[in-house]
Amino acid sequence: MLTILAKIFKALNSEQSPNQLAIAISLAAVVGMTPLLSLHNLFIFLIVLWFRVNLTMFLVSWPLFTLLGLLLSSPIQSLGNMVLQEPSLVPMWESFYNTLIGRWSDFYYKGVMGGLILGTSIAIISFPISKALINKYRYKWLEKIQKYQVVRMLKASKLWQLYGDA
Amino acid sequence: MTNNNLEKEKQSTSAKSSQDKPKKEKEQKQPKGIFRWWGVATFFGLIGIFGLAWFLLAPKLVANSIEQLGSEVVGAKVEVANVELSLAPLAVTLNQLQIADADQPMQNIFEASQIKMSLDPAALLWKKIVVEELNLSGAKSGSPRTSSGALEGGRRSVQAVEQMIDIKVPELSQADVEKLVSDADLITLKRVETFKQEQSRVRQEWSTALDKEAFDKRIAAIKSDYKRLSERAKENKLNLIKDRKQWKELKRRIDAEKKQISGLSGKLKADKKLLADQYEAVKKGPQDDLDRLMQNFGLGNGVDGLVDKYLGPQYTPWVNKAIEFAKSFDGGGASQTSTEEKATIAIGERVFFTDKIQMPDYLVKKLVMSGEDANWTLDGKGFDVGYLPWLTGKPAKLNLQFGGKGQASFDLDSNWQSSSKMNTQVDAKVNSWPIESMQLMATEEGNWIINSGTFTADISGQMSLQQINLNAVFAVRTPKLELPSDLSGWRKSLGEGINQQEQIDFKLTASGSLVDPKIRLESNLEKVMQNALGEQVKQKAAELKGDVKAKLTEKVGDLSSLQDYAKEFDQWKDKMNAQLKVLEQYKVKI
Repeated sequence: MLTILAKIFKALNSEQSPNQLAIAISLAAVVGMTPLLSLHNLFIFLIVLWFRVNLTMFLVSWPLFTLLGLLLSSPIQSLGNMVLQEPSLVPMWESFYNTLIGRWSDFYYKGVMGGLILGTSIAIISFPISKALINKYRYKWLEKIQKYQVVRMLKASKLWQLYGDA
Repeated sequence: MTNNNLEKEKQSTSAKSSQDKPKKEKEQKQPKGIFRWWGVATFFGLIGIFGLAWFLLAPKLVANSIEQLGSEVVGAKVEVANVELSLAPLAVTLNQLQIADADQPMQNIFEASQIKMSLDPAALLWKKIVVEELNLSGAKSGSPRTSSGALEGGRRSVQAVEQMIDIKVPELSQADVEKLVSDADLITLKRVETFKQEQSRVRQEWSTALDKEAFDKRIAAIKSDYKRLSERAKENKLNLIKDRKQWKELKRRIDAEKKQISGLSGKLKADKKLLADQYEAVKKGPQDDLDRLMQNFGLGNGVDGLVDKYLGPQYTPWVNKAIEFAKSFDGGGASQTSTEEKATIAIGERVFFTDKIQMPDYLVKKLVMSGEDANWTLDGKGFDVGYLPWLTGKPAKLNLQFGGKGQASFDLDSNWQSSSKMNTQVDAKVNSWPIESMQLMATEEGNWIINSGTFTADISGQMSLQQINLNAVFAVRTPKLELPSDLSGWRKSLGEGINQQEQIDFKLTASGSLVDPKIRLESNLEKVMQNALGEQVKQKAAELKGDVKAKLTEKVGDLSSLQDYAKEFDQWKDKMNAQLKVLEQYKVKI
C-alpha cells in the first residue's frame, strides 16, 4: 500500500504534464476492466509505450482497475450481453465479426464487450477529472500535503528513494 | 524517524535540488517529443520474446491439452510422447499417441506411432482449424503398457457393466407367503363383492316384475270380467254384439299382460349374461391374484418374466451408452452461448453471430490411416470430416478396411445439407473374424473368456435428424468359453449353456429419432439364460406358487355357492311360463 502511495506521489510530483498522467489513468481503466489477453489491450500497450504516457501511473492504476473489474464482473457481463444482443446493433456486430480484426478482437464475448464499454466510459470520464485533480493538487494541495507528518515520513523513507527515479 | 533525520533529509534534498537546477532548466529548454521511440522498440521486443516463448512452449502445451482433454473423454490415460510444430509448411505432428483401455489399464485400446497434420494457414487467420491432410500411421490396438493407464475413479460404463453382471436371483425360499397374501388387496374379493351386489339388484327387480300377488289380482279381475260377459252372452246371444267393446277391452288387457311377460324374457337373458360374465371374472380372480402376487418375486410371467426382469435390454450397458450418446448429441449447434475462461477478468459467455466465412471451425479435408498388428491390418481414408458439419459443403466420407485373419469394412457417408437436414448412411461388415482370448464379460468370480470362435457383424442403416433406421447383427459362431473356476449356480449353467450354443447372436434395431431413440436388443442368450435360470428356479417357483395359491384359497373362501345364481333364473323363467299359460287359456276362450 505504501509502495503504491509512494509511486502515486512520485508521479504527481514529477514534472510530467497532467495530460500524460491523466491519459495513463484512462488507458489503465480500459486494460484493467477487460480480459488481459485481448487485441485492443495489445494496441493500448503500444500506445502507452510509444507515446509519452506516464508509465508509473499506468502500472499503478492498472491493478486497481482490475480489482474494480473483478468486483463488477456480473454487471459487466450483463452489459456486454445487452449490447451484443441489441437487435438494432446485431447487423453491425455481424459485419464486424466477419472481419479479421473482429474475429481476433473477441468482442463477441460478453466479458470483453461489457468491460470495454465500461472501461472506455470510465476512461473518458476520468481523463478531464483526473487532469483537473492533478492541476489542483499541484497548485493548491501540494504545499499543504507536503507538510503532513505522514508524507514527510514517506519522503524520508527508503521506499521513496527506491521509487524516486521511477 | 527523529527530527534530526528529517532535517538531514531536508538539507540533502535542497542541496541536491540546487545541483540539479541547471540541468533541469536545460532539459526544460529542450522539450521532449511526443513519441518515446525506445518504447516502440520495447513493445516489439516484448512481442518477439512472447512469440518465441510461445513457439518453444507450444508443443508441450498442445501435448498437455490433448492428454487432458483425451483422458476426460476416454476415461483412461491418453499420452503423447512429443509434439512437433513446423511453420513452413504449417504442420503439427503427434508422435507415439497412446490411448489406454479403461477396462484393462495395462493395455492400450489404440496406439499410433505418428499422426501428421498439415494445416491451412489462411483458415487459421479466421480462427478455424482446417487440416489439409491427416496421416495416421502405425495404428495398433491392444498393445501392452508399461504403466497403468487407469484414471482415478474409473469410468461410468464400467459401473454399468458391473451392474449388468451382478444379477441376483431372488431368494424364493425365504418369501413370507402368509404376510404377502394377508396384506394383499385381492382382486377376487372385490369381484365377489361386485357380483353379490349385482345379484341382489337383479333379485330385487325380478321380485317386483314377477310379483305373484299382483299378477293373481290382475288375473282374478280378468277372470271375473270374463265370467260376467260369458254369462250375459249365454242369457242372450245379442249381448255378444252389445258387449263387443267390453270383450275387446278384455282381450286388450290379456295381450298387454302377455306383452309385459314376453318383454321380461329379454331382461332375463341380459341379466343372466351379466351375472354369468361376472361369475366368470370371479372364477378367474384367484389366478389373476396369483399372477399378481407372483410378480413380487419376478415370476409374474414365469421364468420368461424373470429373465425380462433381470436381463432385459435395459440392463445392457452398451445400449444405455448409445442412448446417452444420442441424447447428448446436439444436432444443430443451436446453443446461443458457450463459456470460455481466459485471463484475469472473466471473458464470459460467447454470443454467436452469423459466420459468413463458409468454413467449419474444425475440418479434416483428407484423412489417411494405416496400421497393422499381429492379427490385423488397417487401411483407411476419410474426406471432409468437420465440425460444424454442414459448413464443410461436402458430405463427410470415411472408409476403413481391415484385413489379416479376417476381413472387415466400415463405410460412413454423412451429408449435412444444412443445420436441420442431415442424412448419414452407415455400412459395416465383419466376415468370419477368428476370435482368440476375447473377454466376454467380467464377474466377481473372474473373467469369461471366449477362447475360440468366429465373429461376424453386419451393421447397416441410415440416420437423419428426424429418424433413425439402423439394424445391427452380431454373431459369434462356435464359441468356446473358458469360465472362471469358482463359478457356481445359475451362472455356471449359463456358461455351460453358452458353450453348447452353435452361435451367440445379438440383433440390435434402432428406430425413432435422435432425441428419442427406440432401441431393441434381441439375443439368443436370453433363451440360454432362461434355461440356466430355469434349472434353479422352476422347482422353487412351483412350490412357492402352490403355497401362495393355498393361502389365497384360504383368504377368498369357497366360491362354489355363487354358482347357484343360475337356478334362480330357471325359477323366474318357470314363473313367466306359468303366467303366460294362464293368459293364453283365457285368450283362447275369448
